[in-house]
Amino acid sequence: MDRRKMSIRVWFDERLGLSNIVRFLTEKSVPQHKYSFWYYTGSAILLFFIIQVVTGFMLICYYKPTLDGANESVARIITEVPLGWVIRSVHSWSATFMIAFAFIHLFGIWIVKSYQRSRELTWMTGFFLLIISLLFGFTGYLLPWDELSLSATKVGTDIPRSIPVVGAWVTKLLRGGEDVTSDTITRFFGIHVSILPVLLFILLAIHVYLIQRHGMSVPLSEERKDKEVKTLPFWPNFVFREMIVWLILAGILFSVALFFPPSLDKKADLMAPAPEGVKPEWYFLFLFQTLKIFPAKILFIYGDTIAVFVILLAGVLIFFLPLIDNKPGEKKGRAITFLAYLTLLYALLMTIWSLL
Amino acid sequence: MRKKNYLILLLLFVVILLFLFAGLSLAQQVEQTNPGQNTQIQQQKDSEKIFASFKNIKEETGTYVFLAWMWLSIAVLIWILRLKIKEAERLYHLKFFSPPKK
Repeated sequence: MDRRKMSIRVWFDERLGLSNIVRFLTEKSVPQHKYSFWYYTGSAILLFFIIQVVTGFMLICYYKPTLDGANESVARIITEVPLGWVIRSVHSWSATFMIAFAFIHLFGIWIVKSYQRSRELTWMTGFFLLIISLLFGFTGYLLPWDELSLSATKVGTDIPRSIPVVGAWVTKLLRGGEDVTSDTITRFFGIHVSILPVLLFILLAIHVYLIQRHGMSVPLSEERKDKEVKTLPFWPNFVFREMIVWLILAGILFSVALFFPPSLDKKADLMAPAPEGVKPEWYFLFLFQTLKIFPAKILFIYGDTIAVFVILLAGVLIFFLPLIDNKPGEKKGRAITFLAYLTLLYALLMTIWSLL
Repeated sequence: MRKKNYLILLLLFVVILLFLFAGLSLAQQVEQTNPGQNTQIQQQKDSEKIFASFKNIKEETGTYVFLAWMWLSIAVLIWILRLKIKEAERLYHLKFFSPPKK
């Protein structure tokens, strides 16, 4: 090859094989049908996660994960650091949007049954990604170390205690001791910035690989139609559309973050009693309310224990949903679709009830 | 059909946002009207809260200007992307990038 004509692009392509990736993306196709809008929800989660990572790096420059420094450093970020409150607000709202879209994505996949045969592992890795997102929210909630976050963490880490045999050990592992202390902040901070991101990247890589391997699924109702499903190339047709969605979502996120920034409560006092009406973040409210509706005891078993088991069982069933829903086109499949709507309605109603 | 899908997605998003804001404002209202709470203690709590806000008028004006610039840029970028989508669709239908038939 004539080195004088070699461009930078060709230089990198020789070494990285980028043209093979571009060719793969050009050949990859995306089905076009009336449910195609669900395809954008996955990448929306990725957008918010990227924003989380970037704003998280910025916050880490000033945050101190210690008993004395946590609340003060967050107060400093809000009051002294130029536009620190904006970065914190973006980080907080991006978490909300990310988890909201994770739920939308899960219910979307459940309703159109994209987890059908050969895509079961995609669903399972996606389920774990949702759990990791919730854990991100749970661990991050304690970090400002204010009254509300301390109380909510005390309540949240106390819940596993109702599991027989291992419950107390799990609570102790989460808290780094019998109670929520400075060890808990350090532990939660370490989990939030190192363990969870590593787990997320590994699972995300597997999830994305599986999507590329199996392609985008077509809903059963579209497959059953006589006409061939139209497709369009992933690159550049679908990517340009995704960019539009990303731009609008990013615009909405920044606007909401600027107009509705989160405040910081009084510094947590380990000796003070929990304030009245302690509630977790919105994405845990339906679970919180579910725990509250169970009576103190049912026969000889504590209501808390039964509630935790019911929630865990529901989680396991949702995890194995592709294997349970092995005949999506039949009566069983339709019942499972109806169950998706019922679950969504239950979660919304319980969330509203917990706010009243 | 495509416009309908975009509308459904937009509506869904607006409903979720409204739901979130309604929930937040409901929670705030409940906190404010909760009977039996000592207003003095509540006022003291509020005074110890740190509310995020602009430090000065310069920062506030700059942020609003940035917001306007951001949405204007988004509108321009969306317009450009729509043109690129049209061009990409045209080339796809012409089978411009397909390998030649043997």
